[in-house]
Amino acid sequence: MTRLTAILLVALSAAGLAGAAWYAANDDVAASQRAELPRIGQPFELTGHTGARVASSAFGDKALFIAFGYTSCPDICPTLLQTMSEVMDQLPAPLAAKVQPVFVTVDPERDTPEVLASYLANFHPRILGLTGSPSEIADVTKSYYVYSGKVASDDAAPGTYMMEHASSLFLVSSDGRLLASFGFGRMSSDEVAKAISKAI
Amino acid sequence: MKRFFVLLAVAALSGGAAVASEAVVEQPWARASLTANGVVYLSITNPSGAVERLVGVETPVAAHAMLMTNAGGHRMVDAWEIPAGGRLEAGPAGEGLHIMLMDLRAPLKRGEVFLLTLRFADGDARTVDVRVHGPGAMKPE
Repeated sequence: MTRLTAILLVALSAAGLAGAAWYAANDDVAASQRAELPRIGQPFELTGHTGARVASSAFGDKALFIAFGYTSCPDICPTLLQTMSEVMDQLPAPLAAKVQPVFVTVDPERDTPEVLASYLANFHPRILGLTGSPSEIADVTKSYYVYSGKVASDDAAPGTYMMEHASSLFLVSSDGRLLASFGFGRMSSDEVAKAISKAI
Repeated sequence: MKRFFVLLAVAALSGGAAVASEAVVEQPWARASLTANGVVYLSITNPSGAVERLVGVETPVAAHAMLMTNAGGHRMVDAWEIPAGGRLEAGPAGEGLHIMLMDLRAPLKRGEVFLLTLRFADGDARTVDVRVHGPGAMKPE
């Protein structure tokens, strides 16, 4: 097999922070306790998969159900989006209405609104794809503790690269509190839906 | 149709490969591709008393096929080891093992079947039919 690796764009999440929040959300979080949950993210304005600019303020009181990924990723990203889709189907309608599922690309150079739209057509229709300029994406990923950087390799194949990224789903309240996070592969969609029902 | 005959030709060629390894490849499947990259999942059981090492994968449908893991970061590895009397499972979630197909020559469409050749460290090769399922499939449907 030809040894092929290329530029790796590495993005790592703050796993400890996410884990702590998951345990917090696993209990019935009283409003007073919620104020003690860690803050994550910050207001953003990005480009939706329809091509329209989207400000996070447009989500109102909805909790953001957010995943980071990129469309050229055939393994983890479809798994995250499939889980997200099943969760949105499983949540009772009044709860689902309080949640905005979002997929933020960490590969804005390739993931244009058109590419995102075609990709997301395979998943739950309420999932909003977000892209932007590299600096806009860098700001958002940084505010969610998802870091990225390029690593070149000697035997890079020109034009191809893979990315690494946070493989968690986050649930964030409209006031920026991390209500829950769900580590990749550790929970079924049923379990995630139950945890979200408790957390919001 | 042309692509079909190409696949047949490759099948005829790879059919001549040695098949002495005791490894049993089970239920290989792929997700329908959404971009130029694809993914294959499968299980391998090793009834023998010695470790089997899968050291390479090839397919006519992509320029590159790579053994990947998500353990310790998403990365390519040189081999997958199947312990003596043990089983390796590559599937969504789980251990994060998967075969990545890079630069697909044509989109993988649901319902299609393509060939994948697995090469083991002892020189044995095994060619299997891989069935394509939905783009977000979590298991063969």
